[in-house]
Amino acid sequence: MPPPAKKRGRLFIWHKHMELSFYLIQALNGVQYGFLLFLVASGLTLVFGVMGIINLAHGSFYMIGAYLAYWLSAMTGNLFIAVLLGLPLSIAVGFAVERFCISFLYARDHLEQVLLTYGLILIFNEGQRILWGNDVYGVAIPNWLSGSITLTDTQSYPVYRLFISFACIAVAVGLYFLIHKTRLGMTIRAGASNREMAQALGIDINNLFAAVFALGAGLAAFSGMIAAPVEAVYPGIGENILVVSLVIVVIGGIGSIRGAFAGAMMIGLADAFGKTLAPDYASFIVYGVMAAVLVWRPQGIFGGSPQ
Amino acid sequence: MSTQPIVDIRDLHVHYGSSHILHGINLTIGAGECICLLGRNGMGKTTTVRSLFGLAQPSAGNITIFGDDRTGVASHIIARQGLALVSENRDIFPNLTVMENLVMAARVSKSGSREWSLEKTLSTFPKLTERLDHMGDQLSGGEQQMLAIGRALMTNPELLVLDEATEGLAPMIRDEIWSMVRAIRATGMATLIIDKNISTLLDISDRAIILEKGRIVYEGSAQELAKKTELHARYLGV
Ligand SMILES: Nc1ncnc2c1ncn2[C@@H]1O[C@H](COP(=O)(O)OP(=O)(O)OP(=O)(O)O)[C@@H](O)[C@H]1O
Ligand SMILES: [Mg+2]
Repeated sequence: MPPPAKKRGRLFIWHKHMELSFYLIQALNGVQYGFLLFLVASGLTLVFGVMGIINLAHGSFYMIGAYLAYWLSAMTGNLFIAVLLGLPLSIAVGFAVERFCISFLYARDHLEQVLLTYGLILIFNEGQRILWGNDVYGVAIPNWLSGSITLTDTQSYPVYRLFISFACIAVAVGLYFLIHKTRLGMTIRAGASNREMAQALGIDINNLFAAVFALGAGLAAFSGMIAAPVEAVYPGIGENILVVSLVIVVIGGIGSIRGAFAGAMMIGLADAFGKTLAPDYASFIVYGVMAAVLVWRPQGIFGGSPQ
Repeated sequence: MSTQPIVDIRDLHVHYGSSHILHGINLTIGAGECICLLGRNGMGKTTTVRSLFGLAQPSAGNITIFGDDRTGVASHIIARQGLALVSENRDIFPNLTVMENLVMAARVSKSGSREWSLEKTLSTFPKLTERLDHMGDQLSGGEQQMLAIGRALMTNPELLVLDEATEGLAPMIRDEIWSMVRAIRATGMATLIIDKNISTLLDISDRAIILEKGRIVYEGSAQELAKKTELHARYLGV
């Protein structure tokens, strides 16, 4: 083996001002990204856990959300109106996809689900190109959220990122409440563990699944909408988030919402610190974390224990 | 409508793949009737019940519920006609608490009655009251069975179907279940019971049916069958 080349990119970059505030900001960024990833991944893992469907088109709903946030806020001049209009629209698209495509796949194996939902990605991407072209768009941060919080003389933290975290926490709490404290949530959990018995007790499982799928689509679309101002809106945005979400779902244990939360936080933090401390290896870090977790627990952190 | 049968099964055939399991079953269940379905292992009792609930697809024949043809209909629609199933393997939702297992099933009856409320169900199965916050998979076999019956009652059914409700339980728990079944029966609810405990079953039931290899080989009053011990030996292996 040749001796290691001397002139390689350094593994770690140490900033001059690497004080506590630097770590604080990276931690805040990581947690914020983690919350966002959790929102996306929770929909993916919910649809798999309840319905047994591997939905590769999940990222497409994120993409639809992001483009709707751009398009509708450009038309109305207000991101919140864009969310209010775009969210029901995305949920309706999710509902239609379940009714006209996914519902034919329940009795079929995962390969066929993967093929169909991969086909859906292509269709959604083509639709995106036809409607909005290949340009990259930015979305304005609403005025009242556009400020920054001063942390030190040189460091500050944008208010909008805090807003994203709080919005995600609010939705996550709502999701927890829905699944664990409502009758609908009971029937969702019942249907997830024993479809046949739930039906024999009078639960319309087809409607239930359509609702769960639409909920998953809504979670992804909402994430895409609120992330749009900090992340540009560009072709391929859906695939990027899909890959990261799949990694999170695998890390957390397929079907586990708790696991999705743990996985999302790990990836969010690893990404934030990785990008600044080891930029050359940043794109690898996500997979490094996954490999490490799977060596430790092949079934994922919360794998094998549904919910 | 009082004379209309709850369930009318005509010439029911069921296949599992290429094996012909049920060979033309006829079964009528009237309001308030208690019928027992007997037969040795693998004779088609569970299959009869599963096809009634739309969980197994008939290859021929008709299933009529309250006068409407429900052959091949989705099982949630059949359940909503007022049929409740306590299945052979209980099928408690392990990831729901006892309370949630009961509440998720709650429904008003076809006629709008809410007789079997949570309170009434819990007073019928007081043991469940102490276990309300336990998960379904933390219960003993007897408790699971009571929960399965309670859950079925929460749907306020016209017909309760019990498939092997006392199987694998200790004698004391069995007696408890039987006395609960008698109490339920006393409310006038129709019941279809499958069990291996023949003497108790015949004592509870009005009518008895014996299945042998997917065919009805005996149908008559339970009292009479109780006397015909030679039939017990021939068809029930006792
Ligand atoms: N899913 C299935 N696939 C193929 N054959 C089946 C299936 N379920 C049941 N059978 C067969 O159908 C026949 C009838 O079974 P069924 O469960 O209805 O009997 P049973 O009278 O309820 O018996 P037991 O007293 O053991 O519960 C049996 O021979 C069984 O092996
Ligand atoms: Mg059986």
